[in-house]
Amino acid sequence: MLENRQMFSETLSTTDVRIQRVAKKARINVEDNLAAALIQSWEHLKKIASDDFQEDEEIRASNLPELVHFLMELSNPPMPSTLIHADIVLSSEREMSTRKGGLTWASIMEEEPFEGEHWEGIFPAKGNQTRGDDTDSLSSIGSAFNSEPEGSQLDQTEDSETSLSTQEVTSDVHLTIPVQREYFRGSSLRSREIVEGLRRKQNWREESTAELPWNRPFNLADPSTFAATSDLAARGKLSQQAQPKIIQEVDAVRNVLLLLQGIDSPITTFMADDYGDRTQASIVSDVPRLMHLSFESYQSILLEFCFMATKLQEMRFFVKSVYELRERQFNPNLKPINSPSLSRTLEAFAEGVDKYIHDVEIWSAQQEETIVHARNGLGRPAVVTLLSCSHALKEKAQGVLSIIQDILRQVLKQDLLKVSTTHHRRDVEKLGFLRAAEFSSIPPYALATRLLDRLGDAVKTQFAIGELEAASTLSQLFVATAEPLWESIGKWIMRGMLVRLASPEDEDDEPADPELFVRRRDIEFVSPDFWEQGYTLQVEVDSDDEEIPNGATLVPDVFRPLAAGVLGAGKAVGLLRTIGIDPFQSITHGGLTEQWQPFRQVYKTATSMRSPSLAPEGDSNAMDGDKNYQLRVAFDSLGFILLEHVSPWCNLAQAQLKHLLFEDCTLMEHLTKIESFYFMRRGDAMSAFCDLVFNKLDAQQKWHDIHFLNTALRQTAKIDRKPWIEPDLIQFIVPFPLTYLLRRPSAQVYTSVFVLLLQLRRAKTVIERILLKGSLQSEEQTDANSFYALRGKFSWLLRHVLDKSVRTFHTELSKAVSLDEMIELHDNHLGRIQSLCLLQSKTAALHRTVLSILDLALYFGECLSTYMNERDNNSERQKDSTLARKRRRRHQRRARHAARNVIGFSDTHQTESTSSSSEGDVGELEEGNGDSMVMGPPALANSTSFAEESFVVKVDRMSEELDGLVRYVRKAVDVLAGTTTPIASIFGILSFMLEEWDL
Amino acid sequence: MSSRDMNRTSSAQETLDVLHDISQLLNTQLDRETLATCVSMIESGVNPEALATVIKELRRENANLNAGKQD
Repeated sequence: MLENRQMFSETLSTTDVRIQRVAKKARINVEDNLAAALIQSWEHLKKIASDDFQEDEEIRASNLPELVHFLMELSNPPMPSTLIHADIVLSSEREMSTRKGGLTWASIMEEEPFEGEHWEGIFPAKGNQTRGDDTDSLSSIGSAFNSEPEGSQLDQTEDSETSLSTQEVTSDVHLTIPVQREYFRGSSLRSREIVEGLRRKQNWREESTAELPWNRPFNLADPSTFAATSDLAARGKLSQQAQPKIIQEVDAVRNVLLLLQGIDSPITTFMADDYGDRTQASIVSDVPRLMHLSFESYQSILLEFCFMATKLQEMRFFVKSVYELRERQFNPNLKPINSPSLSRTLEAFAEGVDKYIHDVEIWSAQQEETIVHARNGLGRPAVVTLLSCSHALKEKAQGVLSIIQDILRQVLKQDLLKVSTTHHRRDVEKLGFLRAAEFSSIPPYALATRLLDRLGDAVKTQFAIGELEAASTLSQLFVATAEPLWESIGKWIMRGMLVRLASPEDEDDEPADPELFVRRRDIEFVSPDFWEQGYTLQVEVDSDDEEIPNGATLVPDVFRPLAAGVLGAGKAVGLLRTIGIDPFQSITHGGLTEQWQPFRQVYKTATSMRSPSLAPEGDSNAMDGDKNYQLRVAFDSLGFILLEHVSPWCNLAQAQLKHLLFEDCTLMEHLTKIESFYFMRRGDAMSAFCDLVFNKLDAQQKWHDIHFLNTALRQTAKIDRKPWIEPDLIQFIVPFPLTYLLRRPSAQVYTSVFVLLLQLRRAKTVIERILLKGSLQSEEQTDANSFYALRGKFSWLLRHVLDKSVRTFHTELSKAVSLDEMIELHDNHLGRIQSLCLLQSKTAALHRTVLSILDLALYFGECLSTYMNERDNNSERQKDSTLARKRRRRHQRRARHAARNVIGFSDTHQTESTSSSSEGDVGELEEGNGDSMVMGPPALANSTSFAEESFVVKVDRMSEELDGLVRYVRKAVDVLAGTTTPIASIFGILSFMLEEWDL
Repeated sequence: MSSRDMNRTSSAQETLDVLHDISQLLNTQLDRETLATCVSMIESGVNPEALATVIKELRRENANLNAGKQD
């Protein structure tokens, strides 16, 4: 007996050492729980042996070392299941020791304050460190270790080193498996069987097993035999194959739903793309099989889901990249120097997409919930298949996701096409993997326009093909994306344009909104061109950021109807604010009691307003169709709905500006003054003015001195009781806001018309003077009368037409609501005047001809006066020449009447140069006369002296030239009368009057 | 069954449970029934080392057999 005990003791100590070595090996492999569990179990076994074993036991204590030796011989490296088992052993042992030890808080508090050491008592594995009187088992462990002479010291040291980590790990395990602990309250074996049974059912675990074997003969009545048979047929051999991992279809569907939520599952995983992001969903290599589907069909269905999941995952990473960029922009610590800018529209778009992805995830989770409920008998029974899930998913998400990605790719592609015609690998990557940084090269306003346009088109297309679900989702995304731009529009209208009053340091105060479709040019505020060109609608630019000539304006289609109004309102508000008027101060007076509404609210109002239930109740198809139609109509007319919303704000600003122009700046008064002078509408006063000028001309004096003109104007103004003009008008000086309307280029038109009228008056005066002399011979008087008649006709045309046009313009101007409209009306009016005065480039030849006629008149007058002087001196010579001239004249008249032959000649007139120089010296008058200087008729260097050519010859030549010129004018006027322009009828009247020439 | 017999059975059962735990922790891949058989064999005087060798040999044979079937 003693020998046996001795032998047992020695063998037991050897076994102890072996167990300790295994535990040490486990600790080296950072498997502390395994080590602790092993030591604990061995100590427990020894305790049982020392307490209860009798010699006649079924298992004798003396055989324990042999049994352990046997187990060690068969031992293998630990597997994950081994580690889990170690956790279970530790937790169950702790449970038992807690109950057995009866350690309470009261007892702990009564003892000495060995804080932290109390807990060591809970873990008997480190018994050599605990106090020996805690439990019996712990003392036995200590004695066991102490009995080992060699290596025990080392083991103790290692234990002390690892005790803390072991304790921590153990307590972690305790926290993570509370549920498992419940199973061990009763019999531990039973509990483990339950757990293992449950684990076998968990398809994601290695140890999960199928309920049915894979290799079974094909049975037509048993679909679960199909996959194995199909595999066998595909391999061409009838040998049996290894049992693959098998999964039920309902579990496969749950895995697919996990996949859609971006989570790896036993059947699928996400692979990294070129950016290193795990976006590419793929099927795992050892995918668990379905027993009733062939591998090919199973793979095909799963690939569909993978495509879908890849799209979802790509969009998740797109959204993530947008958020990261935003984070970088707003965090100064993260913001690098050359950080790409982020469009707020893109950000809103990403948020909309994020919301949509979230919806899809919620949908997936709900599907899974339904499955779980149905499986546990809580909900309604459900048929769950991969195909039904695929169909449901297609309805829910597929179309919309493809459209969203397509929109983003098209936006990028458009930018790539613009930048270069060649394609690089980098471009393909940009299109393949959508990231926020790729969009930073596109100007924010262009990006906003393209995104909104493409989204809007997509919504309309989906409505058109009856995809109400997709259209509704996309329209929500559209509304979310349009929100920042709509807000910018509101801000632009409220604050108005930014006016820089020559203070460069303020330039960076508030940069222009890059999202808005309004472009600011670098033009000074006081420049007359500022109003028209300082702020314009955005247009397409080329790769060098230069505007494409005649390029289309870059305004989103949905905002196109209101773009011009918004631009004008912002300019008006900015101008008013600069002057010191707040147009929205008394906002209730304009009927605007509400604040600027968000876009979603406007859209909601629009759709609810336009979707009444016209269909009879109960007819769901008709209701759906009707709703579809109504939503479609509402979306199509969204631009005009927005215009309705914006109009009151714009109108209020414009009305205030109009009030300012008409009342405070007396626009009409200034206009009347300008027209009175430049269009010579003040008949008497202007006649007096012209007479003063002509007197100066006749006296061969310089007349184009500004001081002389001012003096002349002042004198003529005094003729009327009420002064109607200021001398400043010659220099075109008007109060500030009116400069936008009345300054260049309109000033040039006014001066050119003035020049023409002055030329007419000059010719008229000269001819009238001849008539007054009354001593002309009949032929000469005929020519003079011809001149007079023709001049009269032109004069009628210009005077009457001008007058009518001016009156029409005044009427239209008073009806105009905005300064832009006024400018447009004014420009149209001046264009019309230019056309009527033959001052446009297309009628330049006609204008030159008219000037030639007027010059002829002047030349004739001069010749006549010279002739009269000579006649007085030499009456005889005059008689001869008169007779000769009479003969030739009669002869030529006959010939002309017979052949109606046009013989034109022109002359270089002293008067023309006089006239031209008279027109071209004062300020803007010079610019108006540029053409007439160049366009003189072909020159014949004649003088008014009759040394070379007699007066009769000269008059004949003049007569022929006049005839030719008038005929040319008549033909040209006929052509003008035949056009479809609004002024053609006026030229028709002139043409009719010119018919008299031949009579 | 007397109370002594019951105690003996319970004690043996507990010992076997702990042995099974150790077996699992050492990853011997023996299920409970096989372990019980092996324990009884060792109790009957079988050399544990020889028994372990036999089991390993049997496993190897079984693996070869399965591999042959798959081919």
